[in-house]
Amino acid sequence: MSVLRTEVDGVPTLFAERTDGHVTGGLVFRVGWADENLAVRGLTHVVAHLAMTGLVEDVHRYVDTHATYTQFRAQGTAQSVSHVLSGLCTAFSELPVDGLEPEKELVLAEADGRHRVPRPDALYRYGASSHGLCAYPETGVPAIGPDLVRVWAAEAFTRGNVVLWLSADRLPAGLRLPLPEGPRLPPPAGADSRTPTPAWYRSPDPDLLTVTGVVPRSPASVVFTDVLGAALHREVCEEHALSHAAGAVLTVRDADSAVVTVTADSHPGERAGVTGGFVDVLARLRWGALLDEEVAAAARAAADQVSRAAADHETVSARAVGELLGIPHPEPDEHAAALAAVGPDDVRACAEAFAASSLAGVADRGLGWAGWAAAPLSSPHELDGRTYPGRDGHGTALVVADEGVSVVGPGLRSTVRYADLVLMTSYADGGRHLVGGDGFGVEVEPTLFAIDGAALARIDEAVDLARVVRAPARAAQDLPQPRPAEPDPPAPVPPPAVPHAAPDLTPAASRPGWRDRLPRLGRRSS
Amino acid sequence: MSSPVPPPRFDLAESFPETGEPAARAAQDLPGALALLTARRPRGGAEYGVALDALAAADGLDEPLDRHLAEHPDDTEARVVRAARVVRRAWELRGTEPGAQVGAERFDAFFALLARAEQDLVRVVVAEPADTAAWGLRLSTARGLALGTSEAGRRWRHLRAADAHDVRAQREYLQHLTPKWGGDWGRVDAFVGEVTAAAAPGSAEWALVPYAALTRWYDDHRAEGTSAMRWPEVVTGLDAAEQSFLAAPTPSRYEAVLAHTDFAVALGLAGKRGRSAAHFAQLGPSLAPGTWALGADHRSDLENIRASALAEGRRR
Repeated sequence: MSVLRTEVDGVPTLFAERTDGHVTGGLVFRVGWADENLAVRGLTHVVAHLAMTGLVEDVHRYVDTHATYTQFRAQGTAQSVSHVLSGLCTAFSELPVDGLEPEKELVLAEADGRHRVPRPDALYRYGASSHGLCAYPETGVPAIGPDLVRVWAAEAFTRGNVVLWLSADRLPAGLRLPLPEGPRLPPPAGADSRTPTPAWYRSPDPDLLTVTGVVPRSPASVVFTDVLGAALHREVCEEHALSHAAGAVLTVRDADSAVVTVTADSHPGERAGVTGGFVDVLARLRWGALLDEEVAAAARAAADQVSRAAADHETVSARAVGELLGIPHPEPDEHAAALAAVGPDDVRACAEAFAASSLAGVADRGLGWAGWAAAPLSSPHELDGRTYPGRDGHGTALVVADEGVSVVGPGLRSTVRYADLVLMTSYADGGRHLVGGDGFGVEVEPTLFAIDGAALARIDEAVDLARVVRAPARAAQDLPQPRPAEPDPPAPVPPPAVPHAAPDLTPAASRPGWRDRLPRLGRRSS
Repeated sequence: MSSPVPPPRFDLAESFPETGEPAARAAQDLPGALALLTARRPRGGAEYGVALDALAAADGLDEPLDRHLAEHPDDTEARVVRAARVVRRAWELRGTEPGAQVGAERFDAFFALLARAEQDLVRVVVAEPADTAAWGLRLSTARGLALGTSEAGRRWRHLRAADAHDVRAQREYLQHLTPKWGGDWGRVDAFVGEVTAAAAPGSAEWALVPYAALTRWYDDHRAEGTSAMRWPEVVTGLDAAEQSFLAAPTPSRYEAVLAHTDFAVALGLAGKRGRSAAHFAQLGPSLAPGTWALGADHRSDLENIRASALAEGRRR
């Protein structure tokens, strides 16, 4: 059974026939959280939620927001699915902004209930923008107003920026998709690593090794991932019993590249052995005894999987995502043949690319001994400006300069330049939390530094208002207090705590720069 | 008038000149020297190890090795030699002081050298997984880099899969299992038991018993004199191991030096002077430097035993 490519109401459509009487369909838009910036982090999710609010309740439908796309799905009868898809398209032109605040509450409640997996790898690779935003909570949600959601819907949820997919006995007759006009958005920028690689950082879970690396998107990368995962499992799980679970997965990032993620847990006391096993396995794929049969078996397995894949709704949905992101999708026979043709030299080339771009989260001794550099824990420079001493008496100081702010102290240097600012959370109690595009942050706290109102005003005047999220005053017991001990080492991230603040009630349009808060998508000069 | 007792000869290449041939040739003909070294396989075998030590200590080979490896990156023999030289230099730099007396700068330089050696060694073991010399050096780098017993165990098991009877590697791994490197004496005892259970009569592996006893005494009890070496369980263990060691000729002349030194020193400290002297007599001028150093403050007494043994040998 094959997938038919067609068009419905001017929208590219992928259709797979099914005969069980069910209908499943979806709309996939080329917009996701990697298109946002930290000051509006969560905007796509809120718009997607809002668009769903007016739809009929008796149809199974849901929405997923990913890094580079957002997918709506519905399942039911042909009529009900058509109704949902049409209704969604209409909603983007007439978003029910009266329901914005409850939807924002829902989005924040979802985030509260979700287990947040720390993603220092994304932060080190991408900083606090594009794909690195997955390291942060949906910081921007509290301050999102009606104007912002309308503009975002008009920018991203358009006819040129969507693919429809359907799995049904036939294409529903008369399906209308009344979307606003607009072009396909380019992929998010900033895919190059901000941290020189290969590099290691201390894993937030010391019993879990996590290594990511970027490889060209190709049949070889599929086989490489399989060979790497199987070899690691054999080394640390089967032969040395150091780990319970170890393997590698491949995630397509865009038309050109994919990310290989290696994970391995460790039995008590065996972390270093797991890390050492990984180093040796990767080295073997680069320089060592890579067996033709080992590669051939992985290639055959991948080819078989492609050949066996049915044209079900999951397949057609995945192809729709691929089409949207510009990822060619060969026919199964062609794809299987390409996988089967992958040889050891192709796998070695992938291993080299993976090693060169790798970021490794490890415990204990790090990976300096194996040639990985330590990822930086401090900003490269501190700024020269007026210094405000810390109240803890341990030599920590805040520097407010014309071009930004630094916090410095023993073993501590973190700088945010205003030109690179991606977020400033502005608390009504005087606190200012600044985050730079590289992920380093400076928390300006009057309770911690002997800073006066004039200095705060200097900061407020210097920052781009489009990057400011306002938050109410914190309770006295929640304000940070000078610590008697040495300061913590500077964290190149610390995803700021979600400012679960009541929304800023100032009408967005009346605040200067509100429109600039939108991410720069590189289209539509306004 | 009796002739003076010969000074200890710690350099095995001096005792067995044929093992120094690759080092002697290296300055003029590095590829030829590497071929001579390869001829002393199996890797990790005692003669190979002594020849490798001599190459590791030879002057003026760093640049020729770098040039050779730039032209022949797949020459694993050259990589082993380069790594052995760097590992040797690293440990010389670190010295034998307790860690607290080694400054941060010296530790940084020590780690950097070991990490450099690792770059060569990992390439060797992934190309030739049965290269016990490279795995043995990786046990040494793992200890210096403080990678811990988990990683050391993984490396040891790889080495064991190629040669379970590599005497020098067994000693290196035993050090990992001691408390000062993150293990405990129970693991040391279990490892010694595992090795001796598979050891043939006459094998130098039996000397792991006195080596372990001396190591424990040196680490935990040397301040109390030699009483811990005379504990009944220690003496019983030494007796049984010595009996098995002496039950057949030792196949390797080079490993025999290690083993006889272990028994000579351990039995000497245990008060078994006659049996200690017999091992010194077997050694002649040769001694293994590592175990000799474990004699610590009691070396003058051991020298007396050695002197009488060698004098007795000359009278015969």
